Amino acid sequence: MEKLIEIKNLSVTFHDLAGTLHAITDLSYHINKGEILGVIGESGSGKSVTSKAIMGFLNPSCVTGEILYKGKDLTKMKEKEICKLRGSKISLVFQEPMTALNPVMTIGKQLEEILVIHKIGNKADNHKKIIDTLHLMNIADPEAMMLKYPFELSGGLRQRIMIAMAVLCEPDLIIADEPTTALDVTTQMEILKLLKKVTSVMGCSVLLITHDLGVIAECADRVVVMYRGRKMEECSMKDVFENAVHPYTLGLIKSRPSNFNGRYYTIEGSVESNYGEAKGCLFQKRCDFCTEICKTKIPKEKIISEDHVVSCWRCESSEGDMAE
Amino acid sequence: MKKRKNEEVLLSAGQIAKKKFFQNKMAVLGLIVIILFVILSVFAPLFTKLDPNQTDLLNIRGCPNAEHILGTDDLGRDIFTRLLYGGRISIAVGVISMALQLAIGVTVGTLAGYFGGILDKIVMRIVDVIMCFPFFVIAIALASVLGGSMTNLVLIIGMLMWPGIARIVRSQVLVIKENEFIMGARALGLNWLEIIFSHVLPNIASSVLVASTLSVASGILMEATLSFLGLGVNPPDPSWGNMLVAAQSMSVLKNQWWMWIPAGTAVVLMVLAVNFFGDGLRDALDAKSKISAGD
Amino acid sequence: MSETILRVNNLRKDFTNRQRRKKGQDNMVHAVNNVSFEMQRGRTLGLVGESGCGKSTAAKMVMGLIPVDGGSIYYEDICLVDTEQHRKIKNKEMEQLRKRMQIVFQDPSSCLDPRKNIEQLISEGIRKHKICPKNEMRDYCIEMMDSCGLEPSLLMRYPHELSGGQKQRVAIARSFALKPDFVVCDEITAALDVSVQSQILNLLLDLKEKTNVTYLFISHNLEVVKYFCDDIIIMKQGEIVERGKCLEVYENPKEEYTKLLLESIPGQMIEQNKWN
Repeated sequence: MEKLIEIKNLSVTFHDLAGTLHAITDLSYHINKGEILGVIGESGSGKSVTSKAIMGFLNPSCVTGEILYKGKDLTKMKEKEICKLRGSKISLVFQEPMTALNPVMTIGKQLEEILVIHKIGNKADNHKKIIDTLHLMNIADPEAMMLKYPFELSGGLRQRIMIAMAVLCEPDLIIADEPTTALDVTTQMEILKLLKKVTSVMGCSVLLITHDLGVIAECADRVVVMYRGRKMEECSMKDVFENAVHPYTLGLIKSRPSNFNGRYYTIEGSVESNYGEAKGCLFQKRCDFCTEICKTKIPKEKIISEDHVVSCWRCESSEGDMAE
Repeated sequence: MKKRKNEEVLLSAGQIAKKKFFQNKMAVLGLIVIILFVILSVFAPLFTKLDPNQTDLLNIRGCPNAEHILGTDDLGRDIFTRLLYGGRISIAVGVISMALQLAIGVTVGTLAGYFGGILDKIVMRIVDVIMCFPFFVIAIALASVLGGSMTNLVLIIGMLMWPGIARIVRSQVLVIKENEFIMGARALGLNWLEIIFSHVLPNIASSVLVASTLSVASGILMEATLSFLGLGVNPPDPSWGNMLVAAQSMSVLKNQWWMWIPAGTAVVLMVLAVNFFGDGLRDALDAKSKISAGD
Repeated sequence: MSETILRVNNLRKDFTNRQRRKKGQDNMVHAVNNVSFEMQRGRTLGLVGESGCGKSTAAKMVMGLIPVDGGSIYYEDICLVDTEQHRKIKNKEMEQLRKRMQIVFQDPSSCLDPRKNIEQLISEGIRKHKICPKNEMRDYCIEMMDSCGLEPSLLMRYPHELSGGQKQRVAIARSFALKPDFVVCDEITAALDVSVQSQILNLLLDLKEKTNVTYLFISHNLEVVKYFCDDIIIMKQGEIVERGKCLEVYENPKEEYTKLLLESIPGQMIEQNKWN
């Protein structure tokens, strides 16, 4: 499959009053064209920072490594250049639909704004495009919707408008950062189905960031598992649930509440902060399979099978190991 | 600084505020100037052997010289000594009037904000009425009627300015009240008095602290103004304000700079210093760190 | 031991909606409308529904934290409020009752006073209700922290220095320090990571075994409620839609809305091993 975005050895470091925070360390993965890549991680995993890095929202001095989009490195781009990409080729769907829309502008105006800024077409064409996009979002009366204000809409509808805004310029990549966390269960399902529909109809890719394995299972084609700023495992959706190797991935799957057996399965310990340098595998203190080498050396990435890589000392791949 | 196992540096909110404050050069400068003035005024006898009210009619309006480093005034009194002793009064008026404003303003604002309803409405109307009137018009009227003295000054400034503090406190309390930990305290069984003392007041402390430092500055300025108009501290007691009375004469203004510039400079410096300090305090206490073990 | 610990009848809470009043419509929004249920000691009841269904409002009314507009609440034969007979428990008596009825809130970041350290937070209720003498206070705090999985070294720390899971444990320790019989858990795992969620749920189960406490468990997460609760009530827009023994309702939902909720749980194919 053709790669749309390739992240190579990305590291993001912040300096603040409490010390040096390694938000992301040595992260490498890719997003193929037309696929939904799910990135799963809990708090402190750095998954949201990745989306900010791709959109160029971070201070360049904090970022090392490359993010390649159609051959160009997004981290090295100037602000002007990357502004042209934002909203048109790479767009973002936020978590909190309540606050992500401008409360004093009508929906129609906010949607028009994107097309005007990116100088897509003339007024008549834009209007038709907006109506078509709203139809795609399964919105019953697009003309009426254009005249409404955000406060008149429910959370689910607002999230649909956010997705409409993301999709309007026919982007190559949509980054959806926890798009359903703030929504009710029934609305959540509708939004996930909508994301899948958008991918198949428009052929764009989606980077779906979430902490919920269930959401991943509904939508994603491939999965990247992150922990404390590093990639632990990357594989297809089926492999995650049937052939997962990394103890953290296995732990996450077993921790689902449906796995009740007198008690819920827990991963011992808690997420440590990312301040300061780490020695050895970041998961060592919570891992059931921790050995001496885990405490001293950071695991190298090993290839398990096509499309399945793991960073863990525990596994031995049948094809031998390979550093990236 | 507390250190955890893997060499993390964990700071408490107070330590973070201290760090932020000391990074702000103007605020630190302000603090130094304040400390300097306070030391000079409180320990005045260490810095000058002269009596502030000792007149010397043979040496009126004398130029600065070795004996009188800032010269002498209309009655031959040493200006430097009067400046130091005057500082006592000016700073005292600022601080005590602030204390009075705090006592009334915090009580009233907290009760109005916490209970809301009728109490809040009545209190806020009173606050509105007092704030309607321009300060100096009322202050001058009151001072003329009651006569000038340090006590009266403190009372006038305190009673006219407490509404400002009350408003700030009330708005802060309204915000704090919505926090879940207040409901949690109620769920634990605490009554309103315990909740206010234990949870509400400590959380508004930083904004109250900032408001009170800034009110010291305005207190000093108001004392200076009222004394300048002859309605403040009575002679012969020195205060920076009544030392400035000398500047009402054109010839003094032009020819005897040492009779009014020191006092004027002292007021300006002190007020600026307190303002910078207060600003620095607000910036340091603001955006309290949310550094947690996770994210 | 099926003693009735809580009886709620025709509970009602109204909010006036100014927007609707202007349009001439009925301006009363029934946040909670005609809700009745009973709880048996030792049986966990799950109160489930989407946001705005009134479950948190109902729980807060049971705890006496917000005023009741209609209906009655009886805790162990003590009348907390009865609007028909115009009875309401006195404030002093309610304060005493708080020892036995506790609530743990959703957001650990906002339910702990940021100005107080852990020892002060946990001992606050103990001090108020004089659960133990002053000289034994610290030891009792450490004992509570231990039973909630917190290290004693955290005693002097402040909430912002703790993780979400640790903060939630502090909130639980604080409530359980009063030795309650009845604890309301208001969406307590909603703000937590999945791995932490399991730890907190296990903690609650351990505490239940030790103290035979009765839980009123409020959640919108149907996966969690399935095995945690014995009985379940489903609410929608202030009214009860369906109720029954938890596993029975999951196996055989009768109402359309319940079926819709159960179908909307993401990730059911994981257990069924069916991929798209």
